[in-house]
Amino acid sequence: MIKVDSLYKRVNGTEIIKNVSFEFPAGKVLGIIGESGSGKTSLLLSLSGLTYFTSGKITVNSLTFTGESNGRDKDFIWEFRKQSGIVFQHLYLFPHLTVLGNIIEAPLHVLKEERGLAEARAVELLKKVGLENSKDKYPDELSGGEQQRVAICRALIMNPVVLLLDEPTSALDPQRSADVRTLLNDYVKQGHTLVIVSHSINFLRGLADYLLYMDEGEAVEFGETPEVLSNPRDSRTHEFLSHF
Amino acid sequence: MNTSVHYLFSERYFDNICPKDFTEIKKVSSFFLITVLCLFTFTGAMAQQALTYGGDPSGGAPYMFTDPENPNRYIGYEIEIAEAVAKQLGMKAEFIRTDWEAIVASLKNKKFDVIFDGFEPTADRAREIIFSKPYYLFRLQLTVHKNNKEINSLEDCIRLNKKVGTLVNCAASRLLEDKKINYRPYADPVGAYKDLEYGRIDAVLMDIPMEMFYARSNPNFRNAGEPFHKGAYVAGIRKEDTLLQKKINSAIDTLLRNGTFEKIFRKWDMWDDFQLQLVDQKEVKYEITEKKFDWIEALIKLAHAAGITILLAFGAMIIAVILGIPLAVGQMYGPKLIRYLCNIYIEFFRGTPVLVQLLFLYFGLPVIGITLPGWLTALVGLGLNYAAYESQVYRAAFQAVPSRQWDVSYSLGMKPFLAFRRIILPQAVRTALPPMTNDFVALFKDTSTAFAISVWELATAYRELANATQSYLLLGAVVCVFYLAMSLPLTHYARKLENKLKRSSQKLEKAPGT
Repeated sequence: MIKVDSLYKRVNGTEIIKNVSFEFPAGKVLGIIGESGSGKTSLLLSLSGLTYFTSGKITVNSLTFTGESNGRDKDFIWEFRKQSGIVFQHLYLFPHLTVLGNIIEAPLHVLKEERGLAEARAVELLKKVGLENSKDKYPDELSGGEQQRVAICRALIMNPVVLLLDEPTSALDPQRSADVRTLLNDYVKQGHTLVIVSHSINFLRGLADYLLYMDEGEAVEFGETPEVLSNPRDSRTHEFLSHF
Repeated sequence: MNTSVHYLFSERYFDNICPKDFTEIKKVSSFFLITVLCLFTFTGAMAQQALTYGGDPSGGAPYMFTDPENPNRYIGYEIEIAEAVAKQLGMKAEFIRTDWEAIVASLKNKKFDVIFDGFEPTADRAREIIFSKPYYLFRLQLTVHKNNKEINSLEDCIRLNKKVGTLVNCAASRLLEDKKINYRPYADPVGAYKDLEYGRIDAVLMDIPMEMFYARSNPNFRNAGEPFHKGAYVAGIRKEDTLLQKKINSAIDTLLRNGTFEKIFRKWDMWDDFQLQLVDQKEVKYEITEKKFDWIEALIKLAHAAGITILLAFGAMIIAVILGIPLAVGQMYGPKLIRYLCNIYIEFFRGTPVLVQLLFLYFGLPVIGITLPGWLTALVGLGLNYAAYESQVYRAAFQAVPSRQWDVSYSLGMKPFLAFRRIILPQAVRTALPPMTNDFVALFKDTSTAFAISVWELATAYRELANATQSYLLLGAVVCVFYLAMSLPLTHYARKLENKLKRSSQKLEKAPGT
């Protein structure tokens, strides 16, 4: 279960996230939509535990991160971070490591796994995305779509409860973007939870179970995807969806 | 303009039309003529009158040095001697500042007409130039620290293998070299006596005028034995200028006899009865030292100096590379006070010349009780200086790594130190390596500033050996080969390392991804 309760984030007096609340069950996919600067990515970073927020609560699985515990309990924050894996819009693969090196870095040094085991798990993940032959290449030898899949593998090998993706298709052509969608669909079918920030409704249609529309830091609309798309309650949502 | 020219050519027209104007113009033109004539005679007299003489004020008092009252002016008895001689010849003395070690070469290259700078006639110099007759007889004095009880003569220095300081290429240095005494050449007497005071050397052998000025009144010193040697100060003249030599000789004779020189020497507290020989006798005999030179020995000396250069460069770079890290980290992530202090450090060392920093460390630190030998001062000084530069290379390199790399590492559960070591650092090193290589090569060349604190590195060795042989070209080529032999393998290796780190992007060009 993922639950966000009265979340506020203020930076230098500006409210980036204003009273955001929503909840959805595990094993489902949440799509967050909205214009640039609407607070989508800030919300995603808050869910990941990488940035602090001013007040409110975020519950992922069994752990609840509160605004009050900001920076106080470092061990808790590291525990909370472990629950999610994140794939950024610009993928930020480690340029000095090979594909395999990128994926096994955290298992080797954080989980202290045996190299053999880590490599076997990594190759298994790479096989699923059809990249097992590229494991010794360096990131700059890969296409954008391939890099995307490596970044997803790198996050998945840590077995996160929830996978967070920021604009996963922004750099991809339609064909590649369909491939990524298939990959994510397979992943969800295995019972995993996803949060996807995207400006593209088409990408989320049929993939996201829930939609959250954000505007200027506010959660304007939240609900099951078909309902939000066909019958938005707020006029701002209606206006936004009319562009597609 | 046209009309005025016309006027000048048609006098009649002028007479008739405006006679008044014409006389006016006549007056004006004769005035011009006189002025031009005067100007010619004047500059002619000037050219005839100037006696240019070369000297190096860094040799210090009492010869010629910066006037403490007026830093734009040089004073010293040599200046007064030169002026007196010029006056006697009906000329005007004009000082040309020059470098002591290149003084003979500069004379030969006609930078000036004559050398006046406590200049001694030596056998090697006699092959290049001619001398005037002596105007001063000097002796040498050995000085030690007052607590030193064991040194009372040069022989004691040989027996006990003590280190003796003196000036570069002077009678004393040649004498020490001749006796195979372990000696250290200095560019100026202040440095030598300071080092004696700080215990960096065991004794100083110096011409009496300098010893009188810098050591005699210092309560920390004592004379080790009586003065010895009988040397002479003469003017140096180009071989072809025998007429000038004759004129200067007769001027010296006159000035010695009429008491002008005695008055100058008394003023500078240099007069002693020893000088009477110059007044009384027509030909005064004095001792001549000779600088011996042998190429094999010179190459060995250069190799030794190259070794010191390598030691300085590597030692300083190690300090710089290591010290640069806390500086960069402190400047980027430290609390306000640390950031502030790091900034002060960096701006101080980048904003002031390394030469000044070395002099400050060498002569300043002993005041607070820290006395380091010259090579260590140079090593530490260059290290501290380059640490400021390296810290900025690091800072730029870390800032070139996107901050999202930290976020990705954290999200994978890596703690800051692990993320830094495994993810951030390797990327920063790639960016930092080329500018660091650059800095190292620059540091190699900057080791030559250690000359200022009398460290016998490659550039010092070059100056001294080239001065001894007058073969600046050949020795210069040899020294350049030494420098290149050190820096080229370095750049080669650094480039290889860079390429190794870049290997993945090179592969990309050959086999692009899908």
